[in-house]
Amino acid sequence: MVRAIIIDDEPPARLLLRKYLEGLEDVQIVDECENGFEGVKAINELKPELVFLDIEMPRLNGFEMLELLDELPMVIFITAYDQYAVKAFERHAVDYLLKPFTKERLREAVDRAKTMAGKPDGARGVKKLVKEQQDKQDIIERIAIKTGTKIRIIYTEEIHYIEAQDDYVMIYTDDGKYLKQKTMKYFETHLPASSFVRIHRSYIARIDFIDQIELYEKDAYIVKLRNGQTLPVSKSGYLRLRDALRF
Amino acid sequence: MNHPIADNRHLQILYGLFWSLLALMQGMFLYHFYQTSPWLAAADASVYMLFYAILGLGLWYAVRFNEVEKNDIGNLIITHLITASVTLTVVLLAGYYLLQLMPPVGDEYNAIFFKTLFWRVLAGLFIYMLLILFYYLYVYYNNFMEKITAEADLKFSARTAELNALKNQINPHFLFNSLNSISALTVNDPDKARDMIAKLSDFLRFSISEKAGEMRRFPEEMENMVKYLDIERVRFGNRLQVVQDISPNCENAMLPSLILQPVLENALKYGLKDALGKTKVRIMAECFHGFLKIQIENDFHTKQKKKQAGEGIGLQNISERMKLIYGRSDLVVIKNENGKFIVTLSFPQKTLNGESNNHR
Repeated sequence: MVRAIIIDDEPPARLLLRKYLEGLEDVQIVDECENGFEGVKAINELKPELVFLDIEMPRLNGFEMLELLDELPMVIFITAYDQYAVKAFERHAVDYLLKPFTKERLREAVDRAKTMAGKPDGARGVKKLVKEQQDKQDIIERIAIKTGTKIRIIYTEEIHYIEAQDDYVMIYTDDGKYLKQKTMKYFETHLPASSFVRIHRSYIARIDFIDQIELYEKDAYIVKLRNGQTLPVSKSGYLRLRDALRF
Repeated sequence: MNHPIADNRHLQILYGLFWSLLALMQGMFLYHFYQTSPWLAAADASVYMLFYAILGLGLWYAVRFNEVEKNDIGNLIITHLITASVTLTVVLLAGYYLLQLMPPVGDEYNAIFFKTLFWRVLAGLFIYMLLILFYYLYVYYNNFMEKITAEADLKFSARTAELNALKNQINPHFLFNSLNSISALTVNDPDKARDMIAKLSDFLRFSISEKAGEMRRFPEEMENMVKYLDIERVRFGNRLQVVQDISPNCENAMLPSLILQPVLENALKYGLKDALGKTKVRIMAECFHGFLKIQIENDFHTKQKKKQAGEGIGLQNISERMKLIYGRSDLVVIKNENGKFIVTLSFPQKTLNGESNNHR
């Protein structure tokens, strides 16, 4: 018996999948979720072997949700129409269903998932796919961060600055700081260049949050932020600031 | 290009009158200045003008196949000098010998003919030039009109093509998700499934059949929008709330067909995208000062400041379409305030032929 969770934001889509799965003796639905937040919680608590995952969901899409999981289960992706996603599924031999689908097609997908689930690296394709989706995304507009059991969605407009901390970065926002396992390089290339500047090896600042740029000593600058804090600016950082602000 | 005279009854009559007038003039000339008998003057004038009239019809082809734009001017002059000489020679010779055969003319005519030969040649050249000029003007006018219609046709087809490109295509996401919802409804609510199939069919029919830029009555367009919203409400359940605020005096207002649906789709997409719970979409319509004003607003995540406006390729298309149809760029206004994204469309109610469709 395979324990499964359905994650889809459209009620009729969940209903249809449930009805189909009730007819299969070897799948047991342990939970249904209507968004990615509930999904993360349910997967971490119930540890299902299989997840039916809709890609298009509010705030946290299917790929972003998977990124927040500690351990990846077997996933059968569900989409109505997404040619790019479908190509990626094919590339990584990940199973998917196109809405609307037949019961036979669902049966096949479940059977394949079951054989894969037995293997030690059964979820490898999914892992690669999630990684690829993240890197592929040019400019990010939000960052999902898991703190304990909660998931915080940070929009880039909320960020004050980002600080390097070994393999992690600390993201400072209006309501506190959040640790994220990503490199400075990633944020430097993926945050919108019109709003963020790498002012120092260890700092990326949001331009609108900078209050003043001051000469600190000969050839050394600091920025004063709107909340009074100061950050160091490196020589190349100063040049980048000048380019961004055109002064 | 057809023969201007052979195909036109009015011109045929005018042509006849023209030659009768010339014949009368020639007859008078002979009778008055050369004291010929009236009989001879009449015979001479009518025979010559008859020949000219018949050959004159044929001259059309000398013009038709020697158009000014396509020929060297020297060639044209030579061609027409030759044609003119041939025409004159034929008319003069034929006229001379034909009149010789008429019994009462005889020697009197012989003398008169040679006395007036200079004038005959001069008049012949003048007539030739007149005819050629008429034909060339006709060709020129025809080409000019053709060019104008061709240009207008081109402009029209370019505009139609542009409008078609901007026309919103049916969103495959919407289509396949709706089909999936129908599939789900067959499980426990077959009546509703049938209802939704009918609505989806109506919506698709409407979207496929409409030509871009065609004008529609607002209530018809709105009816289609309601079907679209009904389908989306099945998909999203109570997450999607729709408020309609339609002023009753807009019954006869006109607007380009299928222009509201993309705006509404955009509102739903962004309203739902960042809301975990319920989201509200509001449609307002009112008519005043010769405008139908439609406002569509959706809630959106306040922390995402200017995102939505920048992303709306769909909205850009709408602005382009409005500009193409009405020739104004101030009819689409996009606003972003208090957590609401608001698109306002103003449709002028004066149509191109000056009729007012606005009901007060």
